[in-house]
Amino acid sequence: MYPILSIITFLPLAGGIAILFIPKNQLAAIRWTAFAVAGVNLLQALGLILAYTQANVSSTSSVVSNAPNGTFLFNERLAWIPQVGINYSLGVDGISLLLVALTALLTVVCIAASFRIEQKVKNYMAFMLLLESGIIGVFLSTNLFLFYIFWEVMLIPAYFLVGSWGGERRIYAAFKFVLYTSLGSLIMLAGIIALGYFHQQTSGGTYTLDLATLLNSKLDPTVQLWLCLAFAAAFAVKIPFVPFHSWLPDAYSEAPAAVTAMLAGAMSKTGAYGFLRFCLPLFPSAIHTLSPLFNTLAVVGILYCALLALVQTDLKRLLGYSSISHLGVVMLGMFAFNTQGIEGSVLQMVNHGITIVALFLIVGYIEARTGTRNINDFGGQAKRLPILATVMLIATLSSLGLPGLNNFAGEFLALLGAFRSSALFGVLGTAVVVPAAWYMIRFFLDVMEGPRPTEGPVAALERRGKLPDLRFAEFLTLSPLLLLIFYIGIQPALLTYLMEPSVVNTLQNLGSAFIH
Amino acid sequence: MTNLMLLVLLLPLLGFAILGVAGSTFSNRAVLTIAWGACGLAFLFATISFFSMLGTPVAARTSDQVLYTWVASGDFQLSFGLLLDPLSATMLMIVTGVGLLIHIYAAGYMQDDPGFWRFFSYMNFFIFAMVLLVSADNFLFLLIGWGLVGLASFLLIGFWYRRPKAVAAAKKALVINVIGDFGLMIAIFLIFKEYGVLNYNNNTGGNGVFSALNPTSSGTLLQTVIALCLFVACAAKSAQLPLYMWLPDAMEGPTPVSALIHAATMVTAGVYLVARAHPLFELAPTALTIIALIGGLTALFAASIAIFQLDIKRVLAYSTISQLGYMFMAEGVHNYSAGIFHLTTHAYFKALLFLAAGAVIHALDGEQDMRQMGGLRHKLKITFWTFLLAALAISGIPPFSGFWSKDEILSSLLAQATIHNQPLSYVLWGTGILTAGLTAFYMFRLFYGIFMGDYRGSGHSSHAQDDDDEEASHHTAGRLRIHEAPPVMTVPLVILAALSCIGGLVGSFELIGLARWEPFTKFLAPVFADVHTMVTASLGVQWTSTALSVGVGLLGILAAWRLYGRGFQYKENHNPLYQLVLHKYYIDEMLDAAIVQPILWFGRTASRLLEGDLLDAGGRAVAGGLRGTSAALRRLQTGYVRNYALAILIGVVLIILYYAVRG
Repeated sequence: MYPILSIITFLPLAGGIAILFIPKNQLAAIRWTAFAVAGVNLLQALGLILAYTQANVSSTSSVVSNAPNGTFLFNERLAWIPQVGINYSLGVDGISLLLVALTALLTVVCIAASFRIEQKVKNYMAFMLLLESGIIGVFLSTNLFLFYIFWEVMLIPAYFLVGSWGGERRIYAAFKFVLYTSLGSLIMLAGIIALGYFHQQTSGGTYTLDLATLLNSKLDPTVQLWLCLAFAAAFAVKIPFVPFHSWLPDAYSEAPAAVTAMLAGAMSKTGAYGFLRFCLPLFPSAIHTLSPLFNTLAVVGILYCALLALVQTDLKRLLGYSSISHLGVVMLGMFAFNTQGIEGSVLQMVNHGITIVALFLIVGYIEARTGTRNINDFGGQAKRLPILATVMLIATLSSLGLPGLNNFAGEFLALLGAFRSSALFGVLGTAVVVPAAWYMIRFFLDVMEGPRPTEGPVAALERRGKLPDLRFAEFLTLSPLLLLIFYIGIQPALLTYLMEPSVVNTLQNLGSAFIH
Repeated sequence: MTNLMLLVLLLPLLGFAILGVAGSTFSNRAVLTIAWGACGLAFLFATISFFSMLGTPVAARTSDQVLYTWVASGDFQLSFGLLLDPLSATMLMIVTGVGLLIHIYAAGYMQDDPGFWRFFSYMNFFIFAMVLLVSADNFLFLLIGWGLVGLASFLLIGFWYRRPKAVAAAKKALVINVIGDFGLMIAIFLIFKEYGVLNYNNNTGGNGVFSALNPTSSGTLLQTVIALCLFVACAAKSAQLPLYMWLPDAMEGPTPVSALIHAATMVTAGVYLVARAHPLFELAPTALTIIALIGGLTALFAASIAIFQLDIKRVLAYSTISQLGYMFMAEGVHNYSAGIFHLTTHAYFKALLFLAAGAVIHALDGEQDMRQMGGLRHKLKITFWTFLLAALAISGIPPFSGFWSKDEILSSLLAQATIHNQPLSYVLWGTGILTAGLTAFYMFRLFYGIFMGDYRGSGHSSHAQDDDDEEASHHTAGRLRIHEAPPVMTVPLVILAALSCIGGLVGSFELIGLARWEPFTKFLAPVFADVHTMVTASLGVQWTSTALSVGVGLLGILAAWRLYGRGFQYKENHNPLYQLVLHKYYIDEMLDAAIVQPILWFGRTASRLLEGDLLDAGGRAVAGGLRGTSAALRRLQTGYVRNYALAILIGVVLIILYYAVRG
């Protein structure tokens, strides 16, 4: 059988290694190889979606219990260190399927947007591909130790990409990023090891870290609580939850645009995914106990970061805070423990990935032209950059949740779910639409509209007529994202159709009283 | 019949798409062909639907054409369909019909603007969004239309995107409209939580919110909350207290936009929503009382501001807010069809007033200040006459259109007051009468100020341009040649004037002895068949109310004539009360100080203290500690901080090995 999951996971890594053998002055060859590898992987991911629909979703999505589907498919399994329950095992379900496809797409887009990188191109492209391998591995692992390996593998390219190609404070930003995430990860590692131990204790069997077996554990609620908190430590940093977010504005603003886009678009989803894949089904009683805490953190993050985004002057920091706020909605939907909430949550992971990448790349294009991302340096640039302005407006509207575009669909479902399980959290979460509209429209207006600046770098460029509009290649890079912004907004049903059986499975593991 | 609905919806969208993608390469003529074609065909198909509906039996006039499944998630299943019933048919006629006239007029008004194609693509989009809003068969697509209308207004208000005022106004409109969207979202959540569906299904049978309601029950608190959340959305879209602030500022857009926003489309959405969701409102009498109260308050409040404004478009803006208040008052006393009727006649005369004001502004090269006008009756004959007719219509003088609809509303209010003997309804009725007098006064103040007396302007084009480059459109400095607008602009004026004169004749003729002539109400009757709480006004009540409202209207005109009949004279006035009203009660300033500034202050402070010092310093302290450790380890390890990441991996491998050996 064609080991499609392994290939999707390791093809980028193999491509990255291959790139290292290309002479370093062959820039075009390096770039196009990287692009081709990512492109082939995207095709694989699309093929996977097709294969998955053939194999799995046979009945139309409907209510609950009669959905035995949605379990892991295309499973691959090799014994690795079986004595300690460590196996190489991969599997895909409706939830990870979408996130894998998202990652594959975003990698292609971000590599295409990275063609302007001139320094150490070889290493850069190799790291980007390694990052893709790491993220996809995280989404596909069905053994906790394998998951942890990928979780850490992801960190290495991310660290170097921020630290070597970033802005002036890149070393500081990269260090802070690694520090925060690895502290969280180490706690999770302890949690993983302990989980295997406690599982062995209660089941009396062998020590294992396979997810499928662990799902049947009957752990003591107190044990669950501590293990859940240990896992949450890693995930809460990655998402991030306020107050563990301090690394994010620095890392996002110092990294090159395409790297920021990968971090925000794909990597931030691993935290949310971790909660959904592990914390919810493995520690159901703890999750119910802790959900008021997580809901509170989510709501605080949503509103607090929206207010911070209102006053940022650095375009990337503004998007960074908006990103935390949006991920808060993802978490709020997840902790609703009902179908709409979780489907909205997953849908919103995909949507946020699409939109935030478009936004960061657009800011990257602007910065590449003007050398600045200070919002006060701009004004009225729509005149010279009409196409860039249009694209930026579409991405902005998508981000602020304009009804009819992608984010609206996800936010609506997630918030509907949240509202159904708690009116208070639902209303508080929904209230973010007002500040979100405010800061995002400021983001657009202050750059593209209003009076143009009289001094500063942008004014000088405009005077000399050196402010070219979006180039065709740049437009092509963004175009798949723009198409998805419209498509998912008009018909989100396809995505919910793919994920529904798996979401129902998760809810059943959770023993939720609210499966509807 | 329903297939035509799809065309009504999609043609303006297609026009928008074509113009948006390729419009910049088109000639003005080609742009117009597409924009007029899209809107004109939409109007044609709406008309055909409307008349074929007239030809079908009353019971068969409602249809619901389901198009596709938007999302299915657990028990939340939502399909999008187009609802055609007398209410949506009426709205479609207004939206596409008045919209078309404004499209035609704008061809002249925007002739020299470099953003000609962009303007018309936005206009088509506006029509599309509005059609979606009124023809959706469920609350979710209503919300989508609702949001898209907000976007369209944002684009058009900020059309001149380099003018700081226009950009600020566009931003304000968007954010305040999103407050409304928020209300609508909460209402939708509540509706779904309670009823498990979002489809209306008034009369189409099947599963729907309204078929789940028991019209004879007394209503629950939840229904009141839903109704109030819905009304938050209505207040934002239809510019009612306290969410009206965006509408006066929306004047910053080109004048045809104002006409479109004020007359045909956007602001009517709130009135439509209350009418559409009336089965819910009927079960929430408290909410209806609040709506009537806010409507009355807004009507009076806005009229009082309109009295002293000097910018002619601003006067009209406040008059719109005031007239919308009437419509909500009508709906507050269960007379939904009167609300929709006033919406219809208002669409005619308010579109006309704005377009006529646009013709004046056009003639004066962008001048909007009444102090610089006067005596234009000779130079702008068509504008003068049409404006006069519209002013009479809005002042409620018979037999012009506004009379019929306003009269019906006021009679309803008085009937409610007398039959239920509610002091509150008496107060509302009195407010309505008082506002009618104020309306006649400020409209004729405006009329005399613009057209009568002598010309007070300098004769030079003085309108300051904010644009600093070639964007300066048709406003060029120099000697002003005051001229009547070209036919492309005056023909819509004449058509709208005709509608302002006769558009009210579909109202009730009971007063003049023809009790059975009330085609408008009868047409809408099937939609509101479930409303049993509306009281009918006796003939005596009708006469009392009518006599008084026409009386105060005439009084208002007379007062305006006494004061301004020989031309408008502006006098500085330092009376604090006058200043208070002139500055619109300083509400903008108060809200800025009470809400906007504190929020920004919080953001800045949190940014500096919490983000900058507390969290960052905490992180730095830990980092510093680790850096010290790593320095100590430098002798053992390679010593570079960046290898930290690698160290983790090594650690992991060691752990694995440990377990492997032990196991």
